[in-house]
Amino acid sequence: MSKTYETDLLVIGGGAAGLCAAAEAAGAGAKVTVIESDLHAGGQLVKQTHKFFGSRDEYAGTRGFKIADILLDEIKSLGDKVDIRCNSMVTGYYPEDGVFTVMKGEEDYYRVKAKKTVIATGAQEKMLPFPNNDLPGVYGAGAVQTLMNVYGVVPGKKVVMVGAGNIGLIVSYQLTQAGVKVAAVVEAMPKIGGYWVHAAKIRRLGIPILLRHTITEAVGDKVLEGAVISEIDDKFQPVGTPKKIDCDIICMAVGLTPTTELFWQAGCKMQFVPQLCGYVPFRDGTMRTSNPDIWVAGDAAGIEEASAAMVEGRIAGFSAAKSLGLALDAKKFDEYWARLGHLRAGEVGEKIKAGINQVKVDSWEA
Amino acid sequence: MSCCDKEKLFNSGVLVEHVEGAVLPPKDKWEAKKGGYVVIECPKRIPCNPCFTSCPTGAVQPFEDINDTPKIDYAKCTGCGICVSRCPGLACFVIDLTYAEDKAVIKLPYELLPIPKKGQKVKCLNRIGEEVAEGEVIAVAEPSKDKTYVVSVVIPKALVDDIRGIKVTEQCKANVICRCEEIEIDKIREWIKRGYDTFDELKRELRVGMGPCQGRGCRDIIMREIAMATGQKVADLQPGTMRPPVKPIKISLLAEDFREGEHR
Repeated sequence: MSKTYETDLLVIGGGAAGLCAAAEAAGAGAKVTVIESDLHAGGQLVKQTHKFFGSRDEYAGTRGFKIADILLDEIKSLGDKVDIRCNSMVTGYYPEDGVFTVMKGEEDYYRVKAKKTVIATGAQEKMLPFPNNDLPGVYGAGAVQTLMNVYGVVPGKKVVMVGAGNIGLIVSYQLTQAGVKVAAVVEAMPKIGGYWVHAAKIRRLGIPILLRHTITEAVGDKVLEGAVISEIDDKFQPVGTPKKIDCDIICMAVGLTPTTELFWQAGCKMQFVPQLCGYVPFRDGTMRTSNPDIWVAGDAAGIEEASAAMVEGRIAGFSAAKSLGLALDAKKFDEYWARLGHLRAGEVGEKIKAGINQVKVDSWEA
Repeated sequence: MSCCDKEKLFNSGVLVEHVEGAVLPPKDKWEAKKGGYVVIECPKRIPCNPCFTSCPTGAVQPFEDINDTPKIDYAKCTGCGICVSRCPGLACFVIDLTYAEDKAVIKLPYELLPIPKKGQKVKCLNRIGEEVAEGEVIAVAEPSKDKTYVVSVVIPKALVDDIRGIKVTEQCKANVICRCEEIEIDKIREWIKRGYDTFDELKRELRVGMGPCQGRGCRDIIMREIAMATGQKVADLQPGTMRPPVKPIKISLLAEDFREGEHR
């Protein structure tokens, strides 16, 4: 007989959204199991050495990795309500039995049956096609952050950053802090995608941001030796003479896309939403998907800032706990939505809201 | 500069003219204001308000909407620089025009290594990182104790609207005496001069001897420094109290031991 582990609330993903969902539900009295694929909980927060935006409620002014500690402390203070299982990957959902399968390390494999589930699997990085993009030295921005900020290893000496969204801008700054020279940030759009102040702080360190530019080729024999960049027109076609920049790292920060396999497997109604950067599940006002036992939170619901992911996690955790029959204060729920409203009131928020409107339902009542 | 170039620069994160959310203080008051005024360069609406929540005097006006760009009541700004250390976007600066006839002081946020030292000469950078002047560091603080330093630099007054960064070119050679707490000889000499001329007093103030090595690395040197500064012999000085434990120990182990003792 194969092993089946039972829990009230299963939270898949121990990042910003998942930890908040777990803390919220456990705070209401639920028994929660968090399954996290990495060796430690915290998700992308543990790599973030910069101070966060937002308000006090989202720990503004606190460095990301410290926020992970704060959330883990909150969970610890709830006693044994939350079981966080790291180095464990949810490998699938089987609707016929209603079970999730989990692989711990590479040795242990078991089933989990949960009354309710919050899926907060986050996002994956996008890459770009260009010749030689398999050379050692071509990294995703997440890998660069993991090397530098989690393990204290500098990835190289000189980098060309591709993408001027918040990740490209922040990682350029962190690379500079680690003593790596940032030769240039190239950005295909006519303006930076990230926050203006993040761009200003690397501009004043002398880092050029080349708008309407892209990478066309990586150069090198066995390892990366340079990047060829080119100006592009408004149809993203190369114009003018390409330019070679010597470098031993190309860092790709060209966006994220939600990680959604489990929603598909659970039969959740999905749609491709460009503003949310990929396929996302439909959700009601409690972040519940079309599968009545599954909620969504964080980047898996659409790419956004970690501050929003944390509030969404609270909403999903709250709602899942409520559906378990636990008593909760409705005022708190309204307050979370008010906070999300504030976070989404800026320029970037307009885009997010337009995306969410395409997948939001009033209720799932048939 | 053509308006098209200006737009391109602004779109890549360079302030080209003062706009809402990034304004200079009123010139007449600013020139006479000891301590200077805050200059915040945050012209885009983003959900962020630590400049307001950290301001101890209410000079940064309350935000109706968290996405508002900051507004400043200069009558309340003391130029303390707390916001300089708290702004996640490193967009706050304090500029004091009263320092000298042709010199001003800029307090700017700094998160790179090496950390400059008081008295050190640094290169001053404009908004695109060009070296436009040389400046002298007159103070280095870490107001929030969170690795964002606030560096005060004397700069030419003519460049107060250009300089927004520094480059530390020469690394000051560290002369570390207490490796556990990273205390350098200058600091120890400074405190001895201020009258803290016993090991225990220095220990209380600077934490020398309170780290993992418990003074094995620093005690001799510090005793010699005290002897030199006070004209005494090391043999005549108090070596400081040698309290247990001689190695740092987890408080939980001590607590457990204490509990067991109660049962006995």
